[in-house]
Amino acid sequence: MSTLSLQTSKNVLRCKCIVLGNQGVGKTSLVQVFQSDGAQFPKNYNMTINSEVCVKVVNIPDTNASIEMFLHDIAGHECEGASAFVIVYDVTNPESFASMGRWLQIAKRCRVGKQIHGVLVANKADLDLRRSISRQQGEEFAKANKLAQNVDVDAPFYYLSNMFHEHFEAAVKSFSKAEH
Amino acid sequence: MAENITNLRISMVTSGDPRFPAENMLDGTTKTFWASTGLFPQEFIVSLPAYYVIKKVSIWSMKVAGWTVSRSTGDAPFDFDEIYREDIEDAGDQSLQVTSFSISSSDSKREYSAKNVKFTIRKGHSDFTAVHRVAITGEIDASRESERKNKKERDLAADEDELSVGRAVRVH
Repeated sequence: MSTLSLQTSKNVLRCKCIVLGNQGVGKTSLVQVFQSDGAQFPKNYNMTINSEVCVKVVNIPDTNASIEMFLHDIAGHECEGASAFVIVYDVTNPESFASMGRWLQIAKRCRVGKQIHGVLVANKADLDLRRSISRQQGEEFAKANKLAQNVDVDAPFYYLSNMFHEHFEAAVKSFSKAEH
Repeated sequence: MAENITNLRISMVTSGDPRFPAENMLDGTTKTFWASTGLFPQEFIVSLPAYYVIKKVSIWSMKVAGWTVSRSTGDAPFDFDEIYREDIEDAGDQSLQVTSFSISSSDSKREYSAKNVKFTIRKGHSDFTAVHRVAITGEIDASRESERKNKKERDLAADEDELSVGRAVRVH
C-alpha cells in the first residue's frame, strides 16, 4: 500500500529561517517584500511585538524540489532548530551595525557543532545621503568573522533556499554512503 | 515465541523525498533509507500486520539526536504511550547509529498487544536525518487475533444475510 509520501513526485524541504537585527532596521519589511514577491513594501512603521512566522515556497529551478521557508521575524529566543539566518543592519544606523556581533553570537549559539548558513543584509542602502556604514565596513565585518564566502547576494532568501537545497543533496549523498 | 515481525507497513510519515521513500526503512536492509527533509520533530507510524506483544525494537539511523518511540494498544493509530525516550550520540558522517531496546519491565502495558508503533525524531545532529532500517520483534497475540478473525467472519455472515434478504426482495 502506498503512503502519502509516494503519491507526490515533489520533494518538499522545510527550512526554519530566523531574521535577526536591531529594532527598526527593516526586518519585517524585508520579509514582507520577499513574501509578496516585491509587491508589498510596508509604508508605515509598525513595531513587531510578537514573533511572526510566515511561510514562502521557493521552487528550485530544474529540480522537483521546493523549499518551504518558515520565516521567523523575531528576537533571538526562538531560534532553536533554525537552519538559516538573515542578520540585518541599517546602513544609516551605526548602532545597528555595532550590534551585528551580538546577533551573530545568538545565531552561533543555536547551531552548536553545526555549520551556519546565513546572509548579512545591509539594509536601506538607497538612503545615500544618510549612509554612515560603508560597503567596505560591511565586507570587513564579514571577513573578520569568516563569513565572506559570497558577496553581492541580491536576493538573500532565494540564495538561502538554494543553499538549503544543496545542503540536502549533500546530506542524502552521505546517507547513501553509510557503512553497513 | 518472539519473532521478527514481517509485513510491516508505513501508515504515516511527516516528510520525505520521493527518491528515498519511507518504505525503505522496512525492506530489511540498511542499504536504502528514508530521509527527513527539514524541521523537527519528524514522525512516522509503523503498522503491524496483526496484534503483537512487542518485545524489542531496533533502529538504524544517521544524524538523529533524540528518539521517542510509542505504541498504541487500540485498533486505530491513536492514544500512543511512550515506551522509549533517549538522546543519542552522533556516529559521524559515515556510520549508522544503532538503537535497540527491549520493553522495560516497569512498563505497565508491557503485556498488551499493539498494532501501531510511532517513531518520533525529536531533534537532529544535522538539519536532515536518515533512517535506514527499522525492525520489531514480538509475540503474536493469539487470543486477540482469533477474536478479530471471528468478528470478521460474523460481519461477513451478517453481510451475506443482508444480501440474501436483498435478493428475496428483488424476486418479489
